[in-house]
Amino acid sequence: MDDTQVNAQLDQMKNFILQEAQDKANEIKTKATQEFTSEKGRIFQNEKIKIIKEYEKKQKLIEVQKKINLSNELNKSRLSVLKVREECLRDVIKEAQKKLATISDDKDKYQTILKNLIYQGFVKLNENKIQVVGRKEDAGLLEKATTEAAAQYKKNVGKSIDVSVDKERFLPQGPKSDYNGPTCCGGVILSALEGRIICKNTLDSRLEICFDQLTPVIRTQLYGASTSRKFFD
Amino acid sequence: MSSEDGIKKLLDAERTAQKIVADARQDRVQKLKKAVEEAEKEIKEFREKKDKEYKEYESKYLGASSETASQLATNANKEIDTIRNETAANKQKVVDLLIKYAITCDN
Repeated sequence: MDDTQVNAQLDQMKNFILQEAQDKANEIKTKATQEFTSEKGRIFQNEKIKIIKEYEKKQKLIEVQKKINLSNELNKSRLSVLKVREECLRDVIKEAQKKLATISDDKDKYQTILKNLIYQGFVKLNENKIQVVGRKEDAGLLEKATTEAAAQYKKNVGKSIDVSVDKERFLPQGPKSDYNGPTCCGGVILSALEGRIICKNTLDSRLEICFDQLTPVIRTQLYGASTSRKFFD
Repeated sequence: MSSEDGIKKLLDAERTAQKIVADARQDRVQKLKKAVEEAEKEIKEFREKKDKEYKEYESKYLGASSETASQLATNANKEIDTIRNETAANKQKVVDLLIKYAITCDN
């Protein structure tokens, strides 16, 4: 074999080696391109799903927050309305207390009221011996009213009653503009069995009871019937 | 041509071939790194897009909340005015009713 043939043979072998390497390199490059696309897609897709979930969660939180805010605002506005209603009711009772303070100005009318209050106390207590406590300024009226009430009780119930007006203890005085202490608009407190049974029949306590019991009626009179109320039992 | 030259020629070819394959492998590694980088870049862009959408949604949604709140406040104020007016109009009637009940005894 001469040099030319040997060289040709060597070139053929060399080219074969290089061609094999090139083919292998091309195969690696093709695979690398595929891996590049799939890896990039895989990483992006995984993160994309996470991001979407994260922002969906955030949006839901905003919706919840909005509902909470709305609920808070609704409560706030309802409470402000209820507070004003309550203030108005307090205002009404203050006005009533002012008017109640003038009841004892008309002595004849007030004495009749006192007599009725004392008589009612006798009936409620249903005892033989009763003590009556009134205001100091009502002392004269009280004696007369007590006597009349006792007579009425005997006539209606048929029982005598041993009644005494307390000369040492008194109810607070009537309200005056220059006086800030405890006040009483009138009426009496009756007690029996040495103070163990008590019947509070002062005008103030009666007004309080009336207010408590008549609150639904008062609301209706002030603001009209409730539109949301369904049951009237 | 000596046999040594021939062997050298083949060894050179082998070395070149190895380099071609090694370079291809190196390119593959670089390409995978680039895939991660590009994916991260696209992720960043996607996150920014989502964040923008979210902020728009947030301002729209919470903006609507403040509108609702002011509407509620307006309604409450109207209702309060009505209550005050009705109280003023009907107060005397109620006071008279309370006094009547307070001083009347059903004997």
